[in-house]
Amino acid sequence: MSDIQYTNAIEIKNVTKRYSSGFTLDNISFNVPKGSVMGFIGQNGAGKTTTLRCLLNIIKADSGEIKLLGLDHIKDEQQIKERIAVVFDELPFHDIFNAKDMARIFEGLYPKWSNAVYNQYLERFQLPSNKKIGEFSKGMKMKLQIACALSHEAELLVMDEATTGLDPVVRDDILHIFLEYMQAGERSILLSSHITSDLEKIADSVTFIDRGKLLVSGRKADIIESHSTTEQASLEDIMLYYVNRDRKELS
Amino acid sequence: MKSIRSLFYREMRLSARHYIIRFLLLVLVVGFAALSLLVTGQNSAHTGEDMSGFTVMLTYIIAVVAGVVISEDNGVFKADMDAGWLRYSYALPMSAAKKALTRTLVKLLSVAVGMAVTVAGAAAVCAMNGSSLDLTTILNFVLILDIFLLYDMVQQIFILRATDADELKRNKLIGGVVGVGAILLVTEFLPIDISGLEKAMELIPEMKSPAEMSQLGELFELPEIVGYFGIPAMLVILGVGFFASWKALERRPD
Repeated sequence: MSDIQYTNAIEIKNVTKRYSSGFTLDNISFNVPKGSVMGFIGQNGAGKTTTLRCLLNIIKADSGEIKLLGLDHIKDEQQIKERIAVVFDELPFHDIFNAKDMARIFEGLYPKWSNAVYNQYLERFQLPSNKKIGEFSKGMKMKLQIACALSHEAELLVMDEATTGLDPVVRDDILHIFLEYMQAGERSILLSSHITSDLEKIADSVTFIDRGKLLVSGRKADIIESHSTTEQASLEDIMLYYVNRDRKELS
Repeated sequence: MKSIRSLFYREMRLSARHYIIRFLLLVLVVGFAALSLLVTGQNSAHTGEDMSGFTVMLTYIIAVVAGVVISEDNGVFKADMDAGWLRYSYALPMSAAKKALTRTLVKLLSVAVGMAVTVAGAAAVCAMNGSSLDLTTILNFVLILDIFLLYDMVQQIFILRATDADELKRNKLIGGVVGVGAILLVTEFLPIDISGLEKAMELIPEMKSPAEMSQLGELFELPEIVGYFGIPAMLVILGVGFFASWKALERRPD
């Protein structure tokens, strides 16, 4: 099954999710090509997290089709999850555990978990293996989560606001690690963020979302070129352009 | 198997503190029972029959406390929710069945420890009175643990269906009420006179000696054959609990 050939690491087709609060993720479709980094851009509350939760089957989409690594995200859930890694904006590990405990937990869950790789990351990030996670700084917590995500040869990395709230030095470190991860084979990243400067540095393609609607999706260079006049537009300029246009249309 | 071992390790680490404190409490209760037997035995007015009745009553108190200990929610589900692990776990390669199995194994271990402490404690208390613990009493202990396990199983079904902190609080309360209802329902089908409880409540304030107190046991006496259903009933409760937890853990938040 793992030999299935795929061209898109992620395929999201007509995904809709309605909440009783009134928010709707409205008919979202986009692909993340294999071997690329996609930036998923939108303001807070635009629907980025909802989209990621739908594709990871953390929440059930009302309709639509989702494929990860060429496999159905519900039917082949177990197999997919052995081959992907997820990084959330907040560390979801218990404060009483230490880095060693996490290795003990993950080595049983991931068939390709490598303690050697994990320990290399701990060393590189200068993370103590015996210190309780509750005593870690925010930057250390994020690095630990990334170390866990990168230690089982994941083919796809899905990250939700992974760099938010971190200082620029740590963010830069982490972005470098993502680039190294990409060089190690045909791997893919979907990185959601509202910090466009981070995505500017590493994304090959971008998808803009606002108020649950997909605004534009494609190669970063093409999108920037099509929005540049005399000066080159930044991803932030493009995001603001779409958000303002949307607001004008609404008013 | 490797994944179950990992999940079991995680669950044990998270619940260790809870269980250590509770089982220490149980050991303290055993100590208290021994002490009260010692103090009561020094009164020459009490006959041997009085003392043996009192000893039996103490052993059942130990079993009831063990039941409370094993049926109390160990808080791991809430801790998982608070830490964000519950949501994160849906993105990990672990099925609801494995999560449920891990929880059941931890419960089984707590039952085994609870039972071991109860039997050892009760045997020690009996030995102090020069008697020994018989099989019928041990089987009755199992029945007592069954009742508490039934309560726990029902409450857990409600707890595990919660998807946020508010729902968890509400479900825990509802689960507790339904759990008590389940106990009352089951005892309706047992050949046990539940009105014995009412009689006991009336009698306790007037009781002055261990001999009188030991008569309480007679109000709840079960036919011996019932005791033999204790272990199969426990396995059924744990089995149903496993399947119910499995289904509850398959539920995803909205």
